[in-house]
Amino acid sequence: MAAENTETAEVVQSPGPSAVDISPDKDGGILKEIIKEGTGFETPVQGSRVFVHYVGTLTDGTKFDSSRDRGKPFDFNLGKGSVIKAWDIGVATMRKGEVAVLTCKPEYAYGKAGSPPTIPPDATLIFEIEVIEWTGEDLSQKKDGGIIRYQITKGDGYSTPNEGAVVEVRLVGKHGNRVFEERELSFPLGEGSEFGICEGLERAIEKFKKGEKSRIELKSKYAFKAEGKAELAIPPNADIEYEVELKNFEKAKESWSLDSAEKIEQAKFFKEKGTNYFKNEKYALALKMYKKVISFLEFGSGFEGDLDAERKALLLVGHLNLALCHLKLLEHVEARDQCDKALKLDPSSEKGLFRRGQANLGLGEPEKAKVDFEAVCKMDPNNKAAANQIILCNKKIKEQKGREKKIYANMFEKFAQRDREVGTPMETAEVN
Amino acid sequence: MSVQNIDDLCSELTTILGDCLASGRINEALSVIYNVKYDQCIKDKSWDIIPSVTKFLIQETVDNSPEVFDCCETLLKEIAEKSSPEEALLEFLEQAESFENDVKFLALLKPIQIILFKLPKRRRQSLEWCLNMIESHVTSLPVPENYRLEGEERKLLDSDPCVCRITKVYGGIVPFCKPFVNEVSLRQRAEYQKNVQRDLLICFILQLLGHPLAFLDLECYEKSSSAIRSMTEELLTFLTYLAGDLMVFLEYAETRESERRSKRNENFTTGNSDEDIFCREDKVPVLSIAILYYLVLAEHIQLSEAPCIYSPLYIFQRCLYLIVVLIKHSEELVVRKGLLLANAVLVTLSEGSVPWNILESPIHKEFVESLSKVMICCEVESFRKSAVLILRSYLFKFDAKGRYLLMLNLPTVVNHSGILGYLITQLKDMIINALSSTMTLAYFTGKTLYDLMSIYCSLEHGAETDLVENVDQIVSALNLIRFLALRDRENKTGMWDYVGVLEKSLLEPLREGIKLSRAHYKLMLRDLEEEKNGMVNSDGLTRKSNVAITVGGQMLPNLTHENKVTVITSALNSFELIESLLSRVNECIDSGTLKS
Repeated sequence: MAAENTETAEVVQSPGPSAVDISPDKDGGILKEIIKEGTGFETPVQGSRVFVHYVGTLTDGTKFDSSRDRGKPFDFNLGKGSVIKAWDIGVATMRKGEVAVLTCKPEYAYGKAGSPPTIPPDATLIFEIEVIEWTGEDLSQKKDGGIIRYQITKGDGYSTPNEGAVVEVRLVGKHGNRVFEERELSFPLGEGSEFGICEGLERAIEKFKKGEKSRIELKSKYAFKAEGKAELAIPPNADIEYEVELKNFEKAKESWSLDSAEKIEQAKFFKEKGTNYFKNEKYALALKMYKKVISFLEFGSGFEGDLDAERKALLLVGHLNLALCHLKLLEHVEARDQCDKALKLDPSSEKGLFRRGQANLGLGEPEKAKVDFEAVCKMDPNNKAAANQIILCNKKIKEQKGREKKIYANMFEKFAQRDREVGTPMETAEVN
Repeated sequence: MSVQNIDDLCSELTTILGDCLASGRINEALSVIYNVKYDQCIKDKSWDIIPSVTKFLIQETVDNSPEVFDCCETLLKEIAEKSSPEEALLEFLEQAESFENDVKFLALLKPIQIILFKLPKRRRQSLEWCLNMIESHVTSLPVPENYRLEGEERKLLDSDPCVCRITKVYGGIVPFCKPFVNEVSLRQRAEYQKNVQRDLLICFILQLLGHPLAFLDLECYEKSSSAIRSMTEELLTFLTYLAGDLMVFLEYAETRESERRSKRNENFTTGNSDEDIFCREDKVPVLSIAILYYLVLAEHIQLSEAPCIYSPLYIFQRCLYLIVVLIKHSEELVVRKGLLLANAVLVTLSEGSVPWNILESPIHKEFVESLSKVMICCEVESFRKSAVLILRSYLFKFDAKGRYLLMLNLPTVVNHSGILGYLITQLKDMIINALSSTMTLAYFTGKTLYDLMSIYCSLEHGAETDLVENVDQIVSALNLIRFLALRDRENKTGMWDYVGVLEKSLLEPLREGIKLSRAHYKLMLRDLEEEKNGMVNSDGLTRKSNVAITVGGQMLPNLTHENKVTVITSALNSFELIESLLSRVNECIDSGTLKS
C-alpha cells in the first residue's frame, strides 16, 4: 500500500537521487523514482484500463489533486492520449502494486497554458502514483468483459474504420493452444458473418487503428456461441482468442485529414481490391471497388507535381477498368460512358478506344465501333485484336445493311401494293 | 378490530379531515391525525385518506388560507410516517403526477421522501419510481422563448414566468434528493464498487441538467447570478460525490458519437436493458452531458474537484461533439452555452499544438458547418461575432498541416461570401505566420499555396459572377494578392510562378465583370429615373416602383423608389472599391515582375 499521502507530498518536492529519466527523448522531462517495488514483471500494455491512486503536488508542495480525496481510484485507458503525456509514458513502466513518484516537466504536463484554476502556467508537476491493478480493454457494448483487447503494436493516427468500410486484416484464431485458423482477408465491416468473422471480432476491429496488432479474447457468446463451429473444430460454448492486425482500411472519403498522397494511397488500395475481384470474375464487386478509386481522385485540387501525374494515370486506369467491368456485365451504355471519360483524359488511350469499340458493337452500332477500332489500328498496326474486330464490324455492317435492305424492300413493296389496292387517294382528294 | 370497523373509521376520518380543512379548522384536523384511534386505519387504508387531503393542495389554498396549506403538509407527513409504506407510496406518486399543479407536486415530495426512508431494503425500485415521476414532471415544464437578450439583459430572464416556475420546482427537488445522495456518496468512504442507487441518482441528476436547465441562463455575473445557478451548483456537487471523477462522462460522449455514426444505433437507443446504463439516450441524454461540461469547463463549477490529469487535447476532441449538439439548437441560450464551451476548451490549447491527424474524425466538418450557421444565421449579434472569433481561434490551434487541410476543405462546407472573405484574411495571417517564423513555409508555399489560392482567389462563374453577392470574398482575395506581391518580393512562397494563372482566373474576368455589372446597374438606375419622371408626369400620384432589382439571385421585395436607388448606388460603390483595389493589385504585380 502507498505511504500516507500527506506526508510523502511534503518530502517529494524535488526528485530523489534514484530518480531515472524515462522520457523518450531523454530530455529529463519525466523523472521516475520508485518508492515501493511492485510485484511480478508485467507492466500494463497500451490500451489497458489502469486503476491507480495518486496525489499530485506542485514543486512548492501545494497539493492540487488527489484521487484519495475523491474516495475512488482513478481509472483510464493507457496510451490513448486521454491523460497528460507524462502519465501515458510513466504509468506504462509501472508494475502492479508499485508506488512511484513522477516529476513531470511542463512539456509533458500542461505546458505554457497551465490548467486553470489549479495548475499555473509552465508548472512542473509531481505525482505519487500507486498502480492498483489493470484489465484488458473491454470493447463490448455491455461492458461485460466479453470482448477484451490487449494491444501488441500500437496503430497510427486517430481514426478507426467506419461501418461499411472495407478492412484488410490478418488474423490467427486460437482455441486454447490450438490454432484453428490463420488467414488474411478483406471484407466490409458489418458483413463479417459472410466471411466467417464472428460478431465480437468484428466489433473489436471497429476499434482498431491502422497498423494496430492486438490480441482479442472473446467469450463464446460473442464468438461461435452455443452452436460452435464444426468446420474449425470449435466445440459449443467455447471461449476463443484472436491475434489480429489491421493492415489497412478504407477511410471516409470526406475525411479532412487526407492529403493528396493519402488520397492516392486510398485509390490504389481499392484498385488492388478491384483487380482481385476481377480476376475471380466477381465483376459486380470489382465495379464497386473501381468506383471508389474514382471517388478518391475525382476532385482535382490539392495535388502536387508528381502526384498529379499519378492521379491522372490512376484515374485513367479506373475509368478503363470500370468500362471493362461494365462490358463483362453487358452494360454497354455505362461501358461507353466510362470509355468517354477515359478518352477525355487521354485521347490516345488504345484500351479506351478498343473498349469503346466493344461497347458500341454491343449497342449495335458497328459503324461507330469500326471508327474506334480503326483508330486503334492506326496507332498500333500490329494490334491483331483490333484488326479482327474491324472484320467483325464490317461483317455486322454488311449484315445490318442486308437486313435493312430487306426491310426497306418489303416496305416499299408493301406501300406499292397498298397504293395499287386503294387507288390514288391524293388524286381523288383533288378531284373533290 | 374488525374489518368493518376499519372501513367505518376510515370514512369517518376522511369526512372529518375534509370538513375541517374546508372550514379552516386546522387544530381539529391535526388532533384527529394524532389520535391513536385512527392509527390502524391510516396504516391500512392510506390510499383512501391521502386524496381527502391532497385535494386541498392547490394554488387557491396557498393564496387564500396558507395556514390550511401548511396543515395539509403536516397531515401528509404524519400519514407518511404512520402508513404502510408500499401502499402509501403508490398513492402519493399517483397524486403527485399532475403536471399542471406544481404546488401539489412540491408539497408531496416531503412525504414521499419520508416513505423512501422507511424502505431502506427495497429502496431501488421505489426510488426509481419516484425519480421517474419527478423526471416526467420536470421534462413537462415549459421553457422560456427566445428573447434575443444581449449581455446584462439576460438577468431579466429571472422574472420570466417559465423561469420562475422551473426555479421553484428545482428548489423542491434538490433538497429532496440530497439525503439519498449522501447515503451513497463516495466522500463517505463508502465502497466504490458499483451501486445501483448511485447509478440511478447519477442518471437522474444528469437528466435534471438537460431539459429544462439547458434553456436557462446559468451564467455567473460579477456579483449576482440567477437563482437557478446556485441549485445547479449544488446538483454538480452531488454529481461529484456520486461519480468521483466528473470527467468520466466524456468517454460516454465518445461512445455516443461513434454509435450515432454506425448503423447499429437504432437498436442502441431503444435501450438493451443489460447494456451500460450511461450509454442510453433515454437514461442520459447527450444534451445533459453537453450541459454538464459547459458547467464544468466554461462556468468552472466543480472544476477544481475534477482530476487534474486529463490532457487538454483529449478534452477538446471529446467536447467538439458536445459543442455541435449545443450550437445546433435553435434556442439561443443553448447556442450560447455551446459557444462558451467552445471558448473554454480552445483556451486551454496553445497555438499550433493540435496535430493535423485528428482531422480524421468527421466531427470537425460538423463543427465548422454548424459554427458557420451560427455565424450567418444567428439572430443575436454578439453570438455571431463570438462564433467568428471561435473559428479563428480553432484554425490557429492546429499545426501547419492541419491549418492547410482545414483551409483546403472549409470551402466545401461554407459557401458564404462573408465567411470566405474572412477565411482569406485568415489565410493571409497564416502566410504571415509562416513567413515570419524560422520554420519552413511547408504548406503555405509552392503548389500547396497555389491550391489554396486557386480555391479562394477565383470567380465562381467567371466574368458573370454576381459581384455584389461576392464582394467580401473578392475584396479579401485582392488584398491577399496585393499583400503577397508587396511582401514576398523574393518569391519565398512561389506566388510569382503563377501570377499568370491568377490573372486568368481572377483579375481578368473581374475587370470584365466590373464592366458588365456597372453597365447593368447604371441601366437600372436610368430605368428608375425614367419611371420616376413618368410618375410625376402622368397623374402626380406616387405609384409603386416597378423596376425589379435582384441581388444575389433574390428579388428584393417591395422597395420604395428611394430604397432602390440606395441599393444600386451602394452596389456601384462596391464596384468602385473593387476596381480601385484591382488596379492597385495590378500595379503591385507589374512592379514586382519588372524587378524579378
